[in-house]
Amino acid sequence: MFANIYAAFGMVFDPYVLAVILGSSIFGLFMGAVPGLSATMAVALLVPVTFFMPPVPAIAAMVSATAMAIFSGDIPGCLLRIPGTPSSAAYTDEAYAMTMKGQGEIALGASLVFSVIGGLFGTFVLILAAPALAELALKFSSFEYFWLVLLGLTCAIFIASDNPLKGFVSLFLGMFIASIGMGNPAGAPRFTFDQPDLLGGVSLVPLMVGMFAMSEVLRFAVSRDFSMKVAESRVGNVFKGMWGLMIKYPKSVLRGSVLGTLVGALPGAGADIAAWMSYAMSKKLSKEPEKFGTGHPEGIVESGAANNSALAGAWIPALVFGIPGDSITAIVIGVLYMKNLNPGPMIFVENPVSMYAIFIVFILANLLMLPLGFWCIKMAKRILSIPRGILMPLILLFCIVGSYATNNSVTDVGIMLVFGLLAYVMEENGFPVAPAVLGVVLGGMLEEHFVTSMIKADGQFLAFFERPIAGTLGVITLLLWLLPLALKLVRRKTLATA
Amino acid sequence: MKINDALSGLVVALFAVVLWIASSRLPAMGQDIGPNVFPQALAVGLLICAVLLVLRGLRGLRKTKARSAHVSTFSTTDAADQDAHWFTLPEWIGNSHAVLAFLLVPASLLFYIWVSEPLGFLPTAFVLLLVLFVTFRTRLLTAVPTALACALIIHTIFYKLLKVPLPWGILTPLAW
Repeated sequence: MFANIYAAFGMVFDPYVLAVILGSSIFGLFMGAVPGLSATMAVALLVPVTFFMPPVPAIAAMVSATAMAIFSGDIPGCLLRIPGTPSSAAYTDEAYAMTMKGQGEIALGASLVFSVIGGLFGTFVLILAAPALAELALKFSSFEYFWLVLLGLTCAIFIASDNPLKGFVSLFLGMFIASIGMGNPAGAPRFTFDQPDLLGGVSLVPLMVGMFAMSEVLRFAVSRDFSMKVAESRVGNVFKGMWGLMIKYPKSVLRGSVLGTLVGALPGAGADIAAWMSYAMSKKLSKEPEKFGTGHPEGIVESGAANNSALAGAWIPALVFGIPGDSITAIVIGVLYMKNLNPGPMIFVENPVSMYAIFIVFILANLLMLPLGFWCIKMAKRILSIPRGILMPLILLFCIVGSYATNNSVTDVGIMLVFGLLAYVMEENGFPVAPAVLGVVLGGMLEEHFVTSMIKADGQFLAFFERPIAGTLGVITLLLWLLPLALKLVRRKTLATA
Repeated sequence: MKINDALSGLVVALFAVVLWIASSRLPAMGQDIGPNVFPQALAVGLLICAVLLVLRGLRGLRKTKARSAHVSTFSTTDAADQDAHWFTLPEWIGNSHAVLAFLLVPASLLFYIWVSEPLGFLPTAFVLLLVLFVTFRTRLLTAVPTALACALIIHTIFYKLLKVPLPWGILTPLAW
């Protein structure tokens, strides 16, 4: 084990990898700080670039970019009252109220310091929990995996969208996209319309770039606000008074980090939901809830820690089971497959060095956030004054080249166009996009486990419930599906009798 | 473009039926669980969702009709508005500049697909950026040098650093 950790250190502390970490950190800080560009978009734009890297720097780029983006999303929230990423939305009003009271320094400092603490806590849990869970998961057969994937997808729909029905449509659509091509257990070409380009399936990179980045450019094109006004405020030493906050709210820090990690680890719920839940919990359990909303740091401390710990938490199911915890890890899993680092319990047996390297990158990225974040806060005004009318065309060109680069073919630019438009229309009508991407990533796996299990069981569907863990997972999944329907029926009956 | 749930349900239902039929024509490959089983399961799932969507959309239409008879002034919120009509055009449709900006995004992708090979990456990227910058209200004096510099930077990143064979097109004799 120590030899592995030593080797992992060697892998990470290599000038090339360190340069990648630094570069993608700055990229992530920038993407998070500009409203309209999110952490998910940062990862989607990184995919084509990481395509050309060895596995460890590729993963390192994504880990550091997202960690930075989730923090720097707090900056425009504090200065402009516009959250830079959805994960900062929960406490944007609070942070802006603090800026208005002349306490912008404390708000930004709390965002930074407690982001780092939350991130490190989540990383710590990831390091402890992932290998232990993997040990358990080694005993899993295709039956358990079938239910696990299905359970993960189900959770994703019920937690992440306020409209489960539309979430299901989106998920099924994603799984249909996954079934295009020859990559199925029978090896039969499906839905390819005799296009040789589609035999290998729909390429994942242009699909994700289209759905997460191009759709955003479309939304910007009709949004009609091409420039922003920054609030006038002086920012001095943001680290002043942070130790005081730490001593005053130790429970908030711990609660935010624990809740964030748990919510992150749940399939489908990511940093934004963690932040909302954590802010609400902080208010509920606070000794002075009346101060919330008037510029009070307690909620920022708790939910600022929560959204960064959620980021690390989401990697637990992603690495151990190959089930993404949020849309960011959905993209990451796609990249892991492309790099032949197939996620699943075997990854800890087959690639222990890479796993330790990922853990080290997580710690490093979170520590690097202190100096880089400080610098970013200082630069905030300049970053925010870059007109979005210049940024968005650049992002579009980057999307085009990135899609083209994976196969050196303009067909992929066409794929990006189709999925960008599809994602735009879907979101306009309340169909969430994340379940579709989960469906694309997991559809192949679900089908494979289903077909393998059915062949093993000789077509007897009851076999899916015969093994103890598979049976439990199966029952839980079915309950999750049927419970909302049952509740509705009960409610209707009580209404009728009343 | 907001479409009532009843209509999107119909679209989903149509897709589900086509998917079922297309799947049933797939070759069996001599297994009990052929390549058709999984897509057909998806088709069934989509069909169930479609029926529920249609029902909900119709219920929304009926409800808002009943409500607007009493208090028409109260139902102007977004959600109620969306439920009340089969089809709502986006509010930016009346603004010709917004429509142009929106259409330019897919148009620039098509432009790239058709033109990048013969014209080369650098001129294509320059024109594409310039047109979009100007559409998004950047002054020409800023737009021209920015478009030129950004095209060169992106070209360097992908062509030199990542070794992506971006086409040179008309600039082939000058290739560096």
